Amino acid sequence: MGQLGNMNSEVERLFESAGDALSDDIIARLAETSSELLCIADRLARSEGLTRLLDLLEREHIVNSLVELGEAAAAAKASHAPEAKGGIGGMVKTMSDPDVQDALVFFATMFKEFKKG
Amino acid sequence: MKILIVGGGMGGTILANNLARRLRNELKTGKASITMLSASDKHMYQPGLLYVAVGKMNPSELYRDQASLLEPSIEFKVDPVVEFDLDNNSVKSQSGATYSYDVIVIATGSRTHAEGTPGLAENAEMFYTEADAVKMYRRLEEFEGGKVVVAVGVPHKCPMAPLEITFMLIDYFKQRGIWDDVHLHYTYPIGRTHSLEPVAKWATPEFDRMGVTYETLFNMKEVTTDTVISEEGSEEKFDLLVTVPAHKGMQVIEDAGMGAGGFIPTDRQRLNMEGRDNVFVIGDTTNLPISKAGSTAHFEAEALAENIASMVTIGTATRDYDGKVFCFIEAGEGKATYAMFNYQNPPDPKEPTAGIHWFKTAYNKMYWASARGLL
Repeated sequence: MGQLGNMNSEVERLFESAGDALSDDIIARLAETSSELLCIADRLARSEGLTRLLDLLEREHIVNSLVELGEAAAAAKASHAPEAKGGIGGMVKTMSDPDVQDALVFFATMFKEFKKG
Repeated sequence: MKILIVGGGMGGTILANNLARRLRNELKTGKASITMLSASDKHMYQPGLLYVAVGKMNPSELYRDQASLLEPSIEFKVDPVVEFDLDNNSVKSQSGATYSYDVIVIATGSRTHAEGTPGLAENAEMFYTEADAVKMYRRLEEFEGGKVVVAVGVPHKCPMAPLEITFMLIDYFKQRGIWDDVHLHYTYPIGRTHSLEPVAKWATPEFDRMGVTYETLFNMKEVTTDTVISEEGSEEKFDLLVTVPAHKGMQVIEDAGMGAGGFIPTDRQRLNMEGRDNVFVIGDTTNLPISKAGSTAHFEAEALAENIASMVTIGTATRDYDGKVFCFIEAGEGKATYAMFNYQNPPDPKEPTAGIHWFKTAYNKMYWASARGLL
């Protein structure tokens, strides 16, 4: 009983101090933020665009592609590739790299599909 | 079904959004349409004016763009109605356009009628427009003590306003340290301190405890620069007169002969205009003998939205409005209480608490979620 009584008194003091610490301004700001978040959440929840995007994100190959894209971007940024020298010779050399050709095919296909949509 | 909503205040906005959510598919397929005609592109949180009058809110906090509050599927036009042709299911607007409808909802609200009492508008402070609320605050700032009289006209918007402004004035004067130099005198038109008996039973001892004097059966007849005279024959001298003036419905309703004083005779449960099955009325525009409060408009809008949606989907209404009203009462000293009632159950205000005051403070900011149909 003693311990329970102490706990009750602690909880009571906690609420009392929380009440004393609050002000109308704090309450108003918290309420305003909650209200705005609620409105954003509602719009997102009812957005057809977001629903379709979420559907896509549930497909494994889409997720894999996005992950690969992210990893590739991170690797490209981390790699210390030499600066491009420029000129037609440099361009021909880059374009003859099979990985670069794969990347171009990927982006070409993606933009083709994007235009269809 | 073409649904036309006249008025973009609290009731019209909540109704439009609620309907748009319920009729999402019908709006998409063209089976239904919702058009709102409003007098302004701005939406004002009117209960906030009370706080502006005592320096607790800034007017800029009270406004949002009306279009930003509405569901995208609602057609919104700033084009107030100037003429109703209910026999032919159409209205004419200020731009000269004619709008036809299958169902119309009239939510045009009310306005103050201070000019109905000689001298009142010139000699009293009030808080029902932004300009008036700011003017009242400036007047309060200049006030250094003396007799303050609160005088009330009928009918008026927000039944709790006379009590709330009285309690908030006490707080204001205390915060300025001049309460000891103020004599606050509250007057009320009927034989008790509030129209709702349980509220009067709660408020009267609060007045006694706080040192507010009061006089009942006081109906304003005339106001001079320093005296308010009642129909009953008494006179009250004042240094500052604060009034909750009488209200009227909008001019366009009066001009159309749709209801005495601009208040339309309305069925208390189905909310249709008496004698018309496709004309509905909500908010201050009704002649229902219940509070002209934002919460009334809110709960009416919810019931009506359900009914109109049912009319579209199954051809008949399904719900009655039960008269529900919920009014916060700012009770001063950082506390508040509330009155909730309906056609069957009277209010029963409890001891004011800080928690309810915070709830009210929070609601002042969460109103926008309410207008969007979320709360």
